[in-house]
Amino acid sequence: MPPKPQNLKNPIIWFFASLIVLWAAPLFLPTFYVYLITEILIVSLFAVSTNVLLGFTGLLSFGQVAFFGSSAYAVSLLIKGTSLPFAASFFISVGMSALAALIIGLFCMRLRGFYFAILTLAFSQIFFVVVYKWTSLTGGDDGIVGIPKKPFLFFNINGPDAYYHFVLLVVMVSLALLYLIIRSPLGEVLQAIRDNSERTEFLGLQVRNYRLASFVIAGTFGGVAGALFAPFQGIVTPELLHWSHSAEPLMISLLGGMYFFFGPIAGAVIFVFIKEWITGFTEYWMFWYGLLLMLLIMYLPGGIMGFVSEHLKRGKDDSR
Amino acid sequence: MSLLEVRKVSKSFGKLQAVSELDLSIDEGEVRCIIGANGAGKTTLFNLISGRTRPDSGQVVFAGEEISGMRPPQIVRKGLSRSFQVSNYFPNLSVFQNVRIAVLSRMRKSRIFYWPVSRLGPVNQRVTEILENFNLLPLAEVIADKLSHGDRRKLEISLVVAQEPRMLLLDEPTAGMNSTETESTIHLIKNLVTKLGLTLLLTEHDMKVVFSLADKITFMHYGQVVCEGPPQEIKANADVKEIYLGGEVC
Repeated sequence: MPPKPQNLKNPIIWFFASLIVLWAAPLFLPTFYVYLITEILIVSLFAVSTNVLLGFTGLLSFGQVAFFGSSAYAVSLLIKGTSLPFAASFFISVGMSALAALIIGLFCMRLRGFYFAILTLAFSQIFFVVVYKWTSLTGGDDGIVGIPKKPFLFFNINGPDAYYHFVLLVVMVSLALLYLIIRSPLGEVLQAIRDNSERTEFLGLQVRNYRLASFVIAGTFGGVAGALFAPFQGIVTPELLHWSHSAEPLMISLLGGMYFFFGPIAGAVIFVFIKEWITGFTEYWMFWYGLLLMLLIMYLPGGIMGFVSEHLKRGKDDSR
Repeated sequence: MSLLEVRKVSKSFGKLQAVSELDLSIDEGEVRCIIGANGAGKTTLFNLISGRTRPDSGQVVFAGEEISGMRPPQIVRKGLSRSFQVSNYFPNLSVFQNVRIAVLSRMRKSRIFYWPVSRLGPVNQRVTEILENFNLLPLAEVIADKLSHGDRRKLEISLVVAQEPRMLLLDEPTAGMNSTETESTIHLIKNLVTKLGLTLLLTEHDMKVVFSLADKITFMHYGQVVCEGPPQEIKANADVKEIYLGGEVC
């Protein structure tokens, strides 16, 4: 299904309007929902960053979990093991994710399609095994527990509302940057590569370099999501790096509509709510979620956003 | 002076010798047409020149520099661009975006990641100019996949022209077009050649196109050059008549 043009008319107004509304949310929502929205925000960023690869560059990568997980571990170790301020730990962790993405990307860019996907899976499993086995540093199977929410620069972010505001700011700024990248010449070239990589080469562009750039962008922002996630949960376990976790942002993108910038955000909202709702009465929530996903992919191949945009368009055509 | 020289280039696929020790020399500013039956090796020759396929042996020299073995993006940067026989574009992007990719590459703006592409004035203006030249401006916002066959061919050629190459390789530019579309495309190509002083190498089956465009014609058969010369000479050549033209134009 071809993606529709999806430019916001006034992105800056949208940015501040949603920031203000979400900022005020704790005033009228119980803490449970504040907690839930925090999770949605982090998952959204993770999924949107993954979708830079999947939906906008046409690369199926299972490696995102390595950057999310290693950043979550790095920030936890730095918070607990050093006296560095949280801001420094945060940026070091994200920087490490970016560097890891660059190095792994250099290897993976040699391959295409299926082989590329498998190689990213292999790399993320290496990360998993290292974290799982290096018990003296990472706590092995037990993970790292009791990660505190230290102040960020001069701001106290301890407590659900304060941490929510911190996550909101970081996620909104990250999403704005990603949106800008997708709307930039680089973003347009990535979409051209997704559509027809050979033709892109015959227009004088080195496809491999652009794919690598996309991989690093996705890894970096995946790292931001990971660094936000660790203090939020207060605990990190090797599960975060397991290959099965790497399917999560991919499924969320499919669910929301991978050809749409905001698709993964819609997917994340549904994903987190369904998870919370179904876990309320059965621990086999993955089964029901899988079933729902199957139905959605069969009947809504463009995802939620695809469905909505199709109907909006139809509505417009009808009113003419 | 010759701009492109193909020296003893061979390429085989398994047991099939697609191009065999082929020599070709094209002068700057020349319009050369390659004719030959299907399977004569015309498209393979294009692939060898443009870097899509590597030759088994021989050399391709462009503007005094050997380009055989280079990757397509490098060859394009040297000023040699090609179009494809089967339209090869970005199906999910709009017509405007398709051409913009080529212009971004040409103007070396494709790496900008901190500024919306819609706000790059000179780039968008150039895209508009190109679309106007090709009568594609009314279709600018249409998703490329929804274009008619003729418009796809026009888009295909506009992508190559947007790169402002020194030399253009057009692989059957009018394939599948109706007679009106063919005529307007010939007109367009003629204009381009005179206006930009392009060197042009094209393959074509439509003899009307061939004889109205070419300065010189090369006739290929089974991967080899049988003869070459000005259109009148080729028209009169007995081999060409027998193998290819039949009674159609002579």
